[in-house]
Amino acid sequence: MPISSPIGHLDSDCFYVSAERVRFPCLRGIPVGVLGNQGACVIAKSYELKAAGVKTRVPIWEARKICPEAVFVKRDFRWYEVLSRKMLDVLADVSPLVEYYSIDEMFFDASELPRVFGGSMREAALQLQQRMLQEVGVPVSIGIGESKTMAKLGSDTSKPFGVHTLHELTDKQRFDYLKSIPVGELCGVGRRSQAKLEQHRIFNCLDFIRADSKFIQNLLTIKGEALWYELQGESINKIATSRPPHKAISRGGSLGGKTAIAKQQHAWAVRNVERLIEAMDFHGVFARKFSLSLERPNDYGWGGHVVLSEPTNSFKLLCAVFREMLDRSDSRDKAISHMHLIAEKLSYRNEIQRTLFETTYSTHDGRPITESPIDQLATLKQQINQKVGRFAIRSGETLHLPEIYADETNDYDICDVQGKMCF
Amino acid sequence: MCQGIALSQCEIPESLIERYELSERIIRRGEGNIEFRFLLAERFPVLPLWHEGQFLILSWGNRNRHNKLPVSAWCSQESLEAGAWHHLRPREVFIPASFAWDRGVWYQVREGLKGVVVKDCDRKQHVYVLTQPATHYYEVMTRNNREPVMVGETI
Repeated sequence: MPISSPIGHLDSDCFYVSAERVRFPCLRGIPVGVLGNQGACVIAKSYELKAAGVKTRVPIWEARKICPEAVFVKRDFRWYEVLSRKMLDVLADVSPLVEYYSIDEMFFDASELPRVFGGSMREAALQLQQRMLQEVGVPVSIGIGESKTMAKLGSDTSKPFGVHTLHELTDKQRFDYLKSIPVGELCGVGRRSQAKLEQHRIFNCLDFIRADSKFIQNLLTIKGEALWYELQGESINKIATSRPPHKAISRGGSLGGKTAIAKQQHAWAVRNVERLIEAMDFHGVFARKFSLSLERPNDYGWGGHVVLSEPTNSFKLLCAVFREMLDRSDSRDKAISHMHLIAEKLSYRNEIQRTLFETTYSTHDGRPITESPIDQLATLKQQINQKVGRFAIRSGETLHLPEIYADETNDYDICDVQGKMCF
Repeated sequence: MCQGIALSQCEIPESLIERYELSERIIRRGEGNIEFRFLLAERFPVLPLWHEGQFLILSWGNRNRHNKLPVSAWCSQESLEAGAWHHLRPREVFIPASFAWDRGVWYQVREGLKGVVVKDCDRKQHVYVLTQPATHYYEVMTRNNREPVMVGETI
């Protein structure tokens, strides 16, 4: 088995609730549920609420019956990102390699921990945990292993506020540990994969590693085989310090309730175009293919796309493209509950030669939309928003959403936290 | 609307706890801090408030049909702005709250609620919670189409 640096996995304990407790100490020790974008479902819960029997994704009207004393809090992703970045800073201070896996999970090279903190790996991890609590205020669980899979298993099984150093286990301890974990707990083994494995009498992680690697590959593709090696202690999935290039970028989501009002539907499309362009700017890409997906309650959804001759990020052009698709969807007088805008066929801006002249896109009814290669207004808007804050300057066409703009927490969604590896 | 509030112990000066006999309102929610509860459903409902630097506890709304005050616990912001309360000379006050309760849902309040204080014909002061049309978020959360006017936030 090749010797590699021990990998750490740091996972915040009920992160959204912990983040709220940092700024509102009166939430400590009580059952707390954080509500999602609509105020309808519990998206995160404290251990006290979990102990009362409330599960994630439960609607609030059920949660309050299960736990009448629970306090519900509105989500604030902007604040959660502030704390998440602080956690990253602390980790980057003690580790040469850090992967921003998700808003509340990070992988890191743990080899330096004993030198930085002194003592054994376990003692060092405990000190890191304390430092995170003191400097950020968020309790975390830490797993250390030879691979990312083992490290994540370690943190998962040490929650809450625990430390598990799996790479220090003897073979017997390791086998006992793997035997105690159902195979469905593995990150990457979903319900279907679990069912497939159980058909072959593979119920726990020990059964998994005792199976033949090629058999696992046949059953779960090379991703399953990678898991097999990782559980054996071989690091296959390396710590990634930057995200692989996107194949597509999407923005959208719920419309904050359903709406059949055409002006509001267009306003949402324009707002989502602004968000989409912002994300494309962050990644430094233009796109050529744009898709629109609509969800209508009690009706079939609608999907359509447009492929342009030139890659672009032009606000004017994209507004025209999506408005035209919206018109084509025949959603007038039909309520829409969710809208998703997707940009595909991405090109890095420094890798393409753009035309120096105006380009024209013809809409479905033959109307020409002209795009200037230099859109001074869009550039100015981008500069002001970067300096003052998101949506400080926005299109007048989004004025039909006063309630959305009245509440600043709507300006930020979990997908707006840039740079993380997964949702 | 709002049918109750809870106030963390740290929000009330120790001396006032004795003066207003608040210890009988103490509740401990889970393992959390002590809090004081003020519910509309009480026989004589009251609310804490800060007005001109003074901490007061006043009757919450009015149930008496003969004292010329609106029989309600709430004052809609629209009616206040339209001048419907003008003859009562309402004064805006700050109702400190850590949590508020509406239709069985406790939710977090960052600072507190806005209210108005008016006097009845016996010059006794009453406090009404100021309300406004609920946002979509609040309505989904509580199933109520009115929400209290909060200080520094909208739910």
